[in-house]
Amino acid sequence: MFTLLPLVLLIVGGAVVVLVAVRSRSSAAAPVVEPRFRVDAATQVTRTRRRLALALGLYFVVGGALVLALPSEPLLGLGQALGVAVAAIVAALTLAASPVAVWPGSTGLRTAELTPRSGGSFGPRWGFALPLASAGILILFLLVTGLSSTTDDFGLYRAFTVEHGTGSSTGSPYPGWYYGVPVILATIVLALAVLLVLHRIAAAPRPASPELFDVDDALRRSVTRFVMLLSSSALLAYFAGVAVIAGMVTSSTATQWTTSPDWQIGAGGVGLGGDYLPTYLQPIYAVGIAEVVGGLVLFALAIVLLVAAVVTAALRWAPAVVAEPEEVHA
Amino acid sequence: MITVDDANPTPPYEQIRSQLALLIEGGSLSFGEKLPTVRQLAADLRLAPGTVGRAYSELESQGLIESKRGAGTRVIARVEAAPQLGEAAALVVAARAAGLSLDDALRAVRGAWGS
Repeated sequence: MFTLLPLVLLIVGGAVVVLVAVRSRSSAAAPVVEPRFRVDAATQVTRTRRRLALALGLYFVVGGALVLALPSEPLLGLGQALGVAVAAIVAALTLAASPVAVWPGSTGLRTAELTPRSGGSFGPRWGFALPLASAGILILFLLVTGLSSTTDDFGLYRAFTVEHGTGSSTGSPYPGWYYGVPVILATIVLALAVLLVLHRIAAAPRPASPELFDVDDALRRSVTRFVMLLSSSALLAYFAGVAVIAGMVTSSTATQWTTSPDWQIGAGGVGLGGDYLPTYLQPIYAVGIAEVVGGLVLFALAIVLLVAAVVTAALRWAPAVVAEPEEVHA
Repeated sequence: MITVDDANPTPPYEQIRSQLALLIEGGSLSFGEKLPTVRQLAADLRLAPGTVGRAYSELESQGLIESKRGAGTRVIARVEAAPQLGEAAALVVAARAAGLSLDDALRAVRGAWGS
């Protein structure tokens, strides 16, 4: 049962992320402001884009340092397993410090809307529910691989063992408890960091003038979209890594190499020889291959979401300006 | 929407209270409708949370709203007002948001009435 459940989880996870990718198309249009608010609006747009660029830069630097530059030996690849998640947490916390630019206060007339704002106010409901569901599936996947893991030579739960007729085969590194528990904790921290950013986006004060509410809405939607795309991309990237590693170890452990006796003609004449032929232990081998394929699909989707996040941060939209009434009459 | 004007001699908490009361009694804010949190409204109006909290407390004592921990603040007054009254209340709030004085607003109403 433990060998089939990861496959089911991968298929469900894949379906979830396909929905995310298909539905994450941008439909944002440039908000319209009056000329007297043009400088204020353009300044806030520039400041917000700088914050997104900073978060994105930190994501690449921290992720690159942990995944590529950190030596894998001392921690047996744990730094690599956690690198992307830690980078996404750093990016999210950077944005949480100041998610949207603070509009200048007004000493005169201030207007407030009476609609309550919450973390989910600036994005579609599915945009929050699907990454959360993906995180839940990843945690389930890691619980299953943890339960199916065995200890390696160091006594760490990072191996996978297949019993067969004459003995057993063991492969490592497998995402058992040694990798699974830290990755589960990192996923929970990432979810909390994203919730913190969404809360901060909602709690930031509105502009004092209602004429700027559309620009303010567009900025908040833009930051929300960026956070959800980047965190979902990171989640899928390390989910993909875990799935591919689990699949490779599972399929190689389920492959038995046996010698097939045969007559061979060599330089010394005809003698008894043989070929090494693989024997695949099913359905474990098929599950391993499916995990590899599923992991590669998840990785491709992670790339798509990362590109969408970069596009969101780099998108050069500016508030459109409406003409003054006298300009219209003229 | 509601507004707070520093040039208005009425204290800010009373400006908030009177506008919310007007919107509730005019039917623009209906029974069960959720109001923003004290923190949100205070941040948007650039006021101390205590100022908005005082306005909410007075509206609670008037029986117009109810605050529950975890459930937020909701309108509890059941007002069966004519729809036109709600529109009038919204007009008053919009006029204040536009910075019109009462005299300016009345002049505009008289102009529209006459036509």
